[in-house]
Amino acid sequence: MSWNRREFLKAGGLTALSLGLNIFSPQIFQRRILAGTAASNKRLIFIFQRGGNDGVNTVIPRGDPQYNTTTRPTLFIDESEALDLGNGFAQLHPMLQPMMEIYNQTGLNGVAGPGNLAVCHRIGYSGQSQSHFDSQQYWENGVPGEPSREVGIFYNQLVQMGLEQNGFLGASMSSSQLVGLNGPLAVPTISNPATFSFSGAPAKVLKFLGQLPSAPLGDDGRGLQGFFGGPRGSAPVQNQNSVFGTGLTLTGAVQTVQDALAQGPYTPTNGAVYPTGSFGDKLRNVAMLLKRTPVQILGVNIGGWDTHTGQGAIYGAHGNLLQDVAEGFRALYRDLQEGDLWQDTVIVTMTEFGRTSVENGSRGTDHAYACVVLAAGGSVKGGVYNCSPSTWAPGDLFSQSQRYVRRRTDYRAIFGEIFTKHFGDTMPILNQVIPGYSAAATQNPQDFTFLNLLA
Amino acid sequence: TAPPPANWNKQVYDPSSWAVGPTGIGYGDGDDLTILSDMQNGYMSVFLRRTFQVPDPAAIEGLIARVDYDDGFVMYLNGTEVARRNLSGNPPAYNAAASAREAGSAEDINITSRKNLLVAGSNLIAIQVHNTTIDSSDLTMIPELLNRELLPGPPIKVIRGIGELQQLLHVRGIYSRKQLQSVLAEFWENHFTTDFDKVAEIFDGLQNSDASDAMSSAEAMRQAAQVKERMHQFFTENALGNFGDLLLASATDPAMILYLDNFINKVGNANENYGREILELFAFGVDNRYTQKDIEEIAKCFTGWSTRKVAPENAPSFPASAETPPQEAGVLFDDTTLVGLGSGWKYRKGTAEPSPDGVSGDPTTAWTTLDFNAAAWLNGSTGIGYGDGDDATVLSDMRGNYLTVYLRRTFNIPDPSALSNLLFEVAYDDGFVAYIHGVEVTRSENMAEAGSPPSRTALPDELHEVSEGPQLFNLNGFLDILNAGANVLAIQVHNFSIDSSDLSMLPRLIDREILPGSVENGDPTGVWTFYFNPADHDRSAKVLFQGTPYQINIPTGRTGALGLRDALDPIRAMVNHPSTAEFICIKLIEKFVSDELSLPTFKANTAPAPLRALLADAIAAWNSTTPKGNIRTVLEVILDPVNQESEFWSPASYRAKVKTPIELINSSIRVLDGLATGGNLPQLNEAMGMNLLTRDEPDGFSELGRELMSTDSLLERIRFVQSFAENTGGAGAPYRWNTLSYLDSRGLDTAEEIVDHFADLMFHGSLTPAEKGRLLEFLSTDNNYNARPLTRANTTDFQRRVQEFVGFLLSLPQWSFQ
Repeated sequence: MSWNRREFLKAGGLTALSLGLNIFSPQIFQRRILAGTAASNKRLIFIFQRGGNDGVNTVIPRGDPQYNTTTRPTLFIDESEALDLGNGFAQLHPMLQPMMEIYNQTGLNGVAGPGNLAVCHRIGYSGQSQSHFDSQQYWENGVPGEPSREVGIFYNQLVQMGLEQNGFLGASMSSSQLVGLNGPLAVPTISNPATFSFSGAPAKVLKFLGQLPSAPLGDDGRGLQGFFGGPRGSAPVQNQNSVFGTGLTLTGAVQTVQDALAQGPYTPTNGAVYPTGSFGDKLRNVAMLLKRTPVQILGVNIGGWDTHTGQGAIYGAHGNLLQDVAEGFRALYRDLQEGDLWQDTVIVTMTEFGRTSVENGSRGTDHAYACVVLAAGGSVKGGVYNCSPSTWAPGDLFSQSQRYVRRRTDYRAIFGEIFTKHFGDTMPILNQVIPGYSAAATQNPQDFTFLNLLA
Repeated sequence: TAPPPANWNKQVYDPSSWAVGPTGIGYGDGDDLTILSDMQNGYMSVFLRRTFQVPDPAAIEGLIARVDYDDGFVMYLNGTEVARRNLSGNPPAYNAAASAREAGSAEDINITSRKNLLVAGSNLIAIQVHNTTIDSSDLTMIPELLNRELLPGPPIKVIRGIGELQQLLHVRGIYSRKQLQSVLAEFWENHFTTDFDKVAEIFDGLQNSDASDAMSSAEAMRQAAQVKERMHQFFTENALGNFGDLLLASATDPAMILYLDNFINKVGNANENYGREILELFAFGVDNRYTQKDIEEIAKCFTGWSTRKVAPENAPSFPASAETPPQEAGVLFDDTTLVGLGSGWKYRKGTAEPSPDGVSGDPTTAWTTLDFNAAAWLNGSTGIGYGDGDDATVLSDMRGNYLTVYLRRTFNIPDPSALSNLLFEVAYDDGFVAYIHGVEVTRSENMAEAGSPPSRTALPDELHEVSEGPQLFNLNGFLDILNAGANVLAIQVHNFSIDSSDLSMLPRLIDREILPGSVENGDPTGVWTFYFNPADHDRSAKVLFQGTPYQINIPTGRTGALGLRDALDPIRAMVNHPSTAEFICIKLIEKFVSDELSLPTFKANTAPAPLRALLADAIAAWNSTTPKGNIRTVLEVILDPVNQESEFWSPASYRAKVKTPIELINSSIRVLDGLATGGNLPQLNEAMGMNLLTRDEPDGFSELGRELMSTDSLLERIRFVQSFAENTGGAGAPYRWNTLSYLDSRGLDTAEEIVDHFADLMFHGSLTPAEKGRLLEFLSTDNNYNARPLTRANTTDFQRRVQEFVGFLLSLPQWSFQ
């Protein structure tokens, strides 16, 4: 049996705890007083394509003659089968068709409203790592070259938005924490909201949870919260945060999620259909949490992009993954057409690197440098970035080390733009969210020019 | 202190005046729960009694006394001596001296021959324990009496599925008496990680040389599990061995060769997957003194590496399995070409149906029969098609005009009954249907739903490329339609779309005779082993680690078996490279001592000084042996079991690391003397974030427990420990503990006793008085925290309350530290 907020209230005793959002900071013990005080209603969903997405077949540089059946014997996609993006140069992989609903090409032609899908090529960073693990770390912690930095850029942004007051400002839709949302204050990870509850009868669970001490690290709490909120022993502080902080976040997050579920079964609106499988399920839960909780930044993983063998051109492993992503984008686009939700939301993809421009001997591709970022949202200016006749010279497919696409834009400029324009960060704040941003921008001003994909 | 009373070792004696305490009993060495602090220089012996229940003596199969002792003893069962060590006298006098033994490993003494001394109901075991000298520094007695059941037949050695191997990791972790070995086996398994799912998937797709399916999906999973199990056994046996052996065994592990794509890493088509990871993840550590060029060069060294089955009697064991692997394919056969690539074909462009039904106009198979008159068809050679440059007959007008091309070729078979295996070998783009004498013999999978026969406008539902390699189809089921003499093979080839950039058909018809001694992929008794194929090896010169003191020059032209040295030499040299010593020693320190040291913090010199010093000592130990990298030597420095002075023993390292999920599960079951059969423990471990043996990513799970901690994981952990402590699974649950006998055997009755016991057992006195007060409050109150004293008056209620309390203890943050 699980308990929810109503049972919590019925059972009495912990009424104060159940008012609003009960997650607190172990440092300052403040409690947020319910929604309405948010500095902003802006939302961000980041989707991490783990393994390194083949950007060249995702957004095809048709205008580059080096994209051909010699460089890509089994991976080449014919011009007639790919999706035209209207700029006379770039095409989308055919399996991304569902995203065209967002791209809204007629909008580019000035007929209907502007499209909301930004297609950004050649995103990377100076000193690109070709290690999955290091490069994922850099994309998420914002500092290339510092693989052991464990604090994520989205976490830093949440801190600016009041994470200390409200532990449910962010969430990872996964079992383990995404580095992007990792930090000293535990952000919830929720692989499945439906099972995100404690076991046992309500009265027993209430005793088990007990109550927080009257002051941080105090000795006068009770039950589980008494211990998780109490003295922390002598382990290294990161490990203390990991255990004690996670426990504190957990009890509040369980309650918030159970409150959301208590509103009834979740039905996507506006004809939204999420792709079948765990990725679609996670996005569906993202939409549910966006509508029913104060969460503002959500992270979702989708794995399987490390296509060293048998990648497939239109159909196959890579095409299936792209289809999932595209159907997911379209479902969110439809489902979030409620009030200002779509206007307030940005969805953005990330991946640690692109893949070799030339196909390998196993009908796949190997680790490379710059990659593709897709961004959508009500304030996103639809269009193609860094993949047009003016931004892509013939042969640029092999402009890096004769193997890879050379970057034109640093990934931090993408997130710098989102953090400043969407969340309103000032430059000093941005330098806290993405450590060393200004210094890196000064070193490589070209790479840090905003693409202006946000209005 | 005096001779024992008469009958002291018989049930009739009343011991109510004796002191009560748990075993081990003794003093010194820190291995006793009941400490005889006045024994040294006080008295020579101690006398013990304990009653126990045997409902049915006939049900006892084997009776084992498991005794850890220091120094000598005599054991009596219901008054009769059953075992004795290091002590003389009959009976030994109370002040007799024993000869010396140190406790530390229990000895099993088989006393099955004395089981007739057991009676139904209450029995008594009594022991007198003697010291060597009155001023000896220690004495210990830790006795157990066991019923040993003999299994019918030999133990089952064959793992039937990956679930059993995952369970084994838990069961060994919980029960192994060699805990360090068990922990290290899991450590190496995780370091040299391979993904069971990928191996099973590859096995599932294999064919035998006669084009039959090699094995069912269930069999593929069973064999993949067995490959993983053999490697796990190696990691267990070599847990404290040489790193060079572990690295080489892993490189030649069939699961690794499949998992990281070395089996498709061939000359001219190098695949860098394993070449990258052996440096980044298995030996050097990421970005630790190697370049992209080194990755490309080392990938070439591994070309030709693959795996095949051999007969079990020919399966070499390590290191022969790595150094002198088989170099010939497992299957030898003679092919006779019935229809080869080349001339003799008639073909017709699919601008109209070749033999439409006279009335309906629907397609028929008349054009595939021997009698059909194809004189008007065009003449051509195979391959036929356009695009890709792989065709002898180029259909330059096909693109944009027609979707299908029809082919026929007659061939002669003098005696169909003499054929061994009739095989159709075909490389194609995109789909096809093949016929002999009007009978469809096979078609490509992407034409499955295209109709029979497909019309000229039917489309394959997936692309297929010639470069995916030829496919083999077994046509033995059609031998009876062949004529002695003239026959006809007919094929219709379909394009994926009218404007597709290519189409191709490269067909062959083969008679294959499989020669004796072959071991097929599907051979149920065969064993998967490392296989080196010199024909796939890149024999060009290679240079590794160029311009460093560790540069390796590999000469060109190493033919045959010599090509194997291209990779074996670098692997053997890697233990001498400082990067390997650094990376592996750091990982071992992370595993056992502290999270505060990593390759980056080591490089940046920001790790705490004591850990840097420990690493320096560990690296010195690594370099002190021949060959370098002996793990036992390194761990003796890190764990320092004798002097107990290394950083491992420092207060900073005590309860400082966060438990990983498997550590949390196993330690929880161990601490309650729980009973676990494996059961769903792997699934629980996966729900907590640790899917052992099936992880996709090649980096293994972090040795930093905090990286596996999350609200989702913590919630799963709490739900598990509560379920275990409260025995919610019932008597048949795969994990449970016997609450009442646990408490009874330790004499625990009151809330205070229970709190003290578990606080000591689980937290070693690290809880503050206030924290212990909160524990006592939890156990002594009702659900509203109102006082409700714990009593044994109602056993069910007593047991439930203790179980809820223990579930609470195992949920505490303090229990998450190791």
